[in-house]
Amino acid sequence: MTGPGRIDRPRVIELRGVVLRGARPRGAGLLDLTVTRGELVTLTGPVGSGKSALLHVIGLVDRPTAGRYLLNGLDTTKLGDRDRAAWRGRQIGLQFQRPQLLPQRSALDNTALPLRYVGLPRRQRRAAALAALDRVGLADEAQVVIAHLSAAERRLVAIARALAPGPSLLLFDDPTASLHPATAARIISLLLAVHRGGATVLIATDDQLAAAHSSQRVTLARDATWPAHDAEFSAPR
Amino acid sequence: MSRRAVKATRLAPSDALGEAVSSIIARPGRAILACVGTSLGATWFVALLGLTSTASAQVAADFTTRLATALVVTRPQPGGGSRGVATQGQQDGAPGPNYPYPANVQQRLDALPGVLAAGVFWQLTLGEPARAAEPSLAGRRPAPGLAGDHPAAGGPPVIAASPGFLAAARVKVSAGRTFGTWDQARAVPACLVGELAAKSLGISGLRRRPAILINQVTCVVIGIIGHVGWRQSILRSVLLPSSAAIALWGPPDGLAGARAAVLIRIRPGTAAVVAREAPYAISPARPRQFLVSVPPAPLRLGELVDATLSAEFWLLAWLGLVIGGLAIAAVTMIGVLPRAAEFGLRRAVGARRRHIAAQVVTESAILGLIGGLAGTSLGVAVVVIAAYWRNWAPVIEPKTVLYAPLVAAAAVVLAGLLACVPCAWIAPARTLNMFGIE
Repeated sequence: MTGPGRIDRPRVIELRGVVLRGARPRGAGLLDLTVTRGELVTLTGPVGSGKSALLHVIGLVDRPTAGRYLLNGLDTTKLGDRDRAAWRGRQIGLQFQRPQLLPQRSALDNTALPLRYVGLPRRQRRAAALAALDRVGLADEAQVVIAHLSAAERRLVAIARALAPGPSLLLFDDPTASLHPATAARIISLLLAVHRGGATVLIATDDQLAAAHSSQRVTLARDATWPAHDAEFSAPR
Repeated sequence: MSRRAVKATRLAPSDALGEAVSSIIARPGRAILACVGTSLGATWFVALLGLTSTASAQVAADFTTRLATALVVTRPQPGGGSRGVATQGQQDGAPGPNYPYPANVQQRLDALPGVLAAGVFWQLTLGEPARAAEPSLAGRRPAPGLAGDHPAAGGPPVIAASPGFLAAARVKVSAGRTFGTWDQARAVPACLVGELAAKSLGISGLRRRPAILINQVTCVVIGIIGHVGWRQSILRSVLLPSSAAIALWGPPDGLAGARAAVLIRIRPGTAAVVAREAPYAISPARPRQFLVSVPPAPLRLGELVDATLSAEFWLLAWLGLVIGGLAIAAVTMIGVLPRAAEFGLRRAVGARRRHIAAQVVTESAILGLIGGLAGTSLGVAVVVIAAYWRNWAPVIEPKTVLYAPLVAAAAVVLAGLLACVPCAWIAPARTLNMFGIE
């Protein structure tokens, strides 16, 4: 299940016997997954199979009900609020399935939100947020209030927010949903470029281009069980 | 990514302030609701405390005014024979040798600074109660047989008083006139009847020239007392000139219970000085024979009433504080709870629990202070308007005005923290789904 060279790279994510919230705690419900630094992993599976829940656990915004999750070798069950917040703010960029934006604030404010907590000066925050919006093609809408943006534009703002702090682990939950095929292709290309830049990227998507470039393709079953032995892995790049 | 612990996220105070102000501006409706709720709580608190202190001060002022403007001089061991002090005062209408005060006691006391009026009075101890009589018999003793026809007790008390006493007690007649120095000098058996005494004696007016039989002596009623500024019991009494009482029944006899006293009406604030000087003014040689006292009964009553009112008002004020605080807390919680998703999002992008708390505290403090200041102003206005309406002096403790906005802000901050703590403890992914934001 590992390709040549992959075994030598440091392990970023290690799930051991993890049970997601709401999943069966026994047998096939146990999750095991290992992701090494710089990998591109795609998650597939039907609605309700637990793709979002898995990304939430990996992104430290939720806890598994059982099992161990080692992040960069650290046992996350032993991490306190300070360390979990530090990982979320500085090293993890998570794009939720729903955009999760502050509706009364501008696209720029929303994109700069994570930068508030990493101690960047105001000018640098603004520059980094504008650069992230530019990468998703929304530089012109930076000052527009979220409530006035389309659903597709809101999704792009959410992606820009995940990219803005320049995290080393990026988690995208269906990033191309409700996007025009051309925009979707551009976004997948962008994520692939981010991956090529050295980040570890997990994408929950059915996009064929992303799957083609992934080093691991993980398929989840409908009832949130984890067929670890059925996982399909492509050869690492 | 390094294996060692990642550097903690942080939120600079300026960023917390900026984020709080941005959040307030982003949702003006919510901010206005919070301010209005807070200001109503603060208004209630300040108005109740202000009205309490205003009413308490008014009650205290009423009693203080009454207490500080009347002094009573008594002589515990009235002089008899050689111990008397007034043997020299044998003028027209002057008391006899057993009279306990100098004949010119009124003038002696009037000369003291602070004294507005002074006069002697005593209650007559009579064998028969006073009753209404035919006016034509005024000044004459009726036939002895008549005395047996009347009940032995139950009539209004009869008080011998000098004209100075009428001024000192601020006696005002509703009909007729008072007796003056002319009546006093000639020992005229004319009397004043208190309004309530007149009713009990069946005297409705002066048109039929009513008279009263006092111990078988007929006295013409020359006036009906409608108002008195000292003891209200005077309204139930009959007053006649002290010279007439002495002429008819002799000087007051301490052994029989008819002890003469001097009532002094003084300017407010001079009680201590006058009380010290009065015995010397009456008798420079024997000042220790006289006892000066502020009427004790109204003092105790005043304190009792004041204490009772204060307790009631303080209970109300504390109730106001609790109700105001609960109102503020409810409004704040209503404002904070729906923001669980926002707090979840902030935590998902790196905010720590303390950063969420800092933002809530900053926002709550700003809204609480604005609402608290507005509410305090409104509360002061309510107190001033209420006091103006009742013609009272508005009294508000400076501490109330100082603390009210702070108390309101503290209530908002506390309620905000209480509301945000559960949101901050639940995993961000779960709060995000509580109330979807977008």
